[in-house]
Amino acid sequence: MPGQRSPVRLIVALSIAGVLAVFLLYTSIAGGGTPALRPSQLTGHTGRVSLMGQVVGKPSGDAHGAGLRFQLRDVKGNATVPVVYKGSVPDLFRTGRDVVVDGHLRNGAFVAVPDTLVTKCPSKYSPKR
Amino acid sequence: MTAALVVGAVLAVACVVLVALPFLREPAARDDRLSSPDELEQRRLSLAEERDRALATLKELEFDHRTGKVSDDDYRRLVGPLRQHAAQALRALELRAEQAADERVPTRG
Amino acid sequence: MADLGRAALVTAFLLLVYALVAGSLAAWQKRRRLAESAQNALLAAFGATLVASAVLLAALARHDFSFQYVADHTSHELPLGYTLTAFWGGQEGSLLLWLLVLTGYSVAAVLTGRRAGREVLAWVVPTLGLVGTFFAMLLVFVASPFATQATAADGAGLNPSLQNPYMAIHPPMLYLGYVGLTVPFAFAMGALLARRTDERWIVATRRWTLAAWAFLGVGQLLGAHWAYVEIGWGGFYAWDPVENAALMPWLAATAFLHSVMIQEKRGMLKVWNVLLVVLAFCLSIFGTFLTRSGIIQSIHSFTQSSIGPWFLGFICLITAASLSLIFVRLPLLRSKTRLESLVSREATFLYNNLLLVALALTILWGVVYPILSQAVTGQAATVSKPYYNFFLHTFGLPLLLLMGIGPLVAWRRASLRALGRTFLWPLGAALIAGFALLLAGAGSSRIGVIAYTFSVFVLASIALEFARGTAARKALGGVGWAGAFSSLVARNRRRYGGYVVHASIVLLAIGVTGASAYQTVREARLKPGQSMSVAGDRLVFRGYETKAESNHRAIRALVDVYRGNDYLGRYKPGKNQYFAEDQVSNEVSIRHDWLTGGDLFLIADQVNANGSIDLKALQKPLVNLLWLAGIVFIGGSLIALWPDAREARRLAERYADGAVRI
Repeated sequence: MPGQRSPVRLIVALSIAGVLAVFLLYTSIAGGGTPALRPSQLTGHTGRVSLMGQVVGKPSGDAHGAGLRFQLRDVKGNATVPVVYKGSVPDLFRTGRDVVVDGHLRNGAFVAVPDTLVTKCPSKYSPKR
Repeated sequence: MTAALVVGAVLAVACVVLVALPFLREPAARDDRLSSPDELEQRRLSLAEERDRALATLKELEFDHRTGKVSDDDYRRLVGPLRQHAAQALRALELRAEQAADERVPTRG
Repeated sequence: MADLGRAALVTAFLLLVYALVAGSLAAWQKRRRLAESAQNALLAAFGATLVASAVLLAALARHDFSFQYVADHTSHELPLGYTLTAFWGGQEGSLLLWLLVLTGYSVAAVLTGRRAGREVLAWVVPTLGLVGTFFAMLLVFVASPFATQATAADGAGLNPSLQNPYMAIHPPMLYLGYVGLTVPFAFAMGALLARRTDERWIVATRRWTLAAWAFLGVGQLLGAHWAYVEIGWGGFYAWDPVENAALMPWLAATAFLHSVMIQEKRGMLKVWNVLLVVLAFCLSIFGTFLTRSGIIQSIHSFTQSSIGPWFLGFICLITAASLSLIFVRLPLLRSKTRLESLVSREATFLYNNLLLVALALTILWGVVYPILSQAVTGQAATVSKPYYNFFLHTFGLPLLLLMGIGPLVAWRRASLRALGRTFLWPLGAALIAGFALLLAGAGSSRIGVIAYTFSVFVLASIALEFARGTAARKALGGVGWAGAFSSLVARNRRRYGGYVVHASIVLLAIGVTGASAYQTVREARLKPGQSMSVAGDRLVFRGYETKAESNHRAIRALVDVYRGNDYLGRYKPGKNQYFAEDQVSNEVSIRHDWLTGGDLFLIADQVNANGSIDLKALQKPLVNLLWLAGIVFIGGSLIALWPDAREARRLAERYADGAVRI
């Protein structure tokens, strides 16, 4: 029938609106992502953050016991922060590797959320935790 | 090293020959036009697709009816217009074909 | 030898530039011989790339460490198989693989592409040439696999976790998929450039799209399986940007596969389809970019390499060019048919498309969020599992349901009465299953119950489709049940192959739901003799055993598994310490329960000096359905892809060049 607009455009428009609504609803409830910080950027953040850095010094302690303790330093910089971590430790973890770990800054030390330690692999095409 | 040189030379020559091949085969081609469907042919193609689509829809309706997805009432309601549509498409295609045959007669020696 | 490789790549580059330039000129000015010459340039480019690949392969095979690439990715002790598959293990080699697959596909496209029409093919050639030029340019000027060095005594070796058959075949599978999406894209652009309004390009690329999509799907499943057994954290998908890089184009391609069916049957959604194919192709290039450029923080930390900006530029070029072309040709794409009813198969396909694209875009948002937030607020932020899972559930569950609804709904307009009747059995089955599940205690996860119930609905509707179709075919007479079934499937390969693929997706959904929503995880520190339990199984730690192998030392924890009074066996999770690479790898131990389809997953989390172990055990119900789904998926795709002589004849008649029917 000439003159009648196809409902396709209406459906598409409504869906876009619907998806955006769902999306905005979710982000307003769940927040806008976890900040990804370097040790030098940590001060002042009290919520859960994702900390990236290089492991320096010798790690000590027991990740499945009282906690693994190590120092994390800016990949390109000097600021360090002590980290306390409990949970699974990836096999690639060692001094000199770049890692990412979630947690909170508490009294100058970074207390990690368990099982969030991820080690970046050193070579170009080796996906490994 | 010489093996590498030989392979390299063969590769280079083969590539050049391959690329030049159409020109080597027909140095002076009478008809170098890339054939593309003219208005007539485009129309025929659209009509042919329309016909196939109509026939396929009919076949699908029959199938859906036999497998119970379309009720008897719906089938009766839909099949009439669809058959008409298919017949129209067939007729339009034949008409176009006749027209095309007529239009081409003068140019044929 | 490296010189030969470099020369071959330069040759390929020049040929592809020729294909692009001469091909465009020929298509624009309609010059036949020049068009054929450009086609031949594509064929020759494949030959040149093949030579370059052979040089690299030979260098790998003979451990030629004067090749920097060989030294970086292999070593003397590396088994031959992995030495050869290291071809695509690094940046430069994988770019070469991309080019090889692209030029290979271009040859096939050119040889079979005449079906789409000569003038369309004339534009397909420069489009393929453009993409090929980009990759060849990278290989010649930016990231050459043929860089040489002073011969080293030994190479750096391959990361032990990559020395796994799944990881060896995963990249080529993915690339066959990624690159495969270039062909429908090229034909779509070709049809637009040639001002064609018919569906010929869709018919010509149907199998291409299906094959590329199938390869991409299988490639991802292989990657998931590798992550499950080799990395061994107990999961199979981590929403890592590199994983998402393959998922996004796959979702877009899924949408495209469905919407072209509407265009074929009803002549609608032409603009939507072209936009979709451009989206799928751009996402596949973007995926390659993500995986290779290190721009997004990922556990796959590829060094911030110089090819990143090039990829970004290429994506922008392609997007801008395609969108402008579509805009210019918009009048040609107007269709006459309308969507007649919101309750019709066309409508369900449209809803399916919208959900798939919405899912792909929300994943894309999550992937680029760190960059966007950095640019806008100066502070990079990441999203993780909760974000992705929310949208997976929001869009994925309705998609699951639609898979069951779609086949039951008629084209054009479905009357609600007819719907009620066809829906009755699957709905009933789903409700019964739902109650049974709740009684069995599956209520611990609401999403889980919903997913399972929807799955039963879909499986029931698929089974019903096969049953009704077979009955209808048999009613026509002349065949028994088996004959009717095979005749039904043979005459409707795409439809019933599609149903089998849908069934595989449902199996996947069930497996994913069981393994995530209903898994049990337990951790404990055990001294020899101590035990722990997980979901009814008792695990007793008996101590360690150590073994020295050729290139590593294997430490294994001996764990005896009991269920009630039955001894189920001894399992040995542990670690391998590799000498040359100075790395430790996690070696999990998995017990498959063939009856229930679940796995008992044992991880030696920490080997302690005092002889105790930190053992992590996961009970993952139904996880093996994932791998079964892969097999069913391949089967369904093959059925849908299978050549149909009758259909081929019909199409040949329709598109006979210049045939005039009197």
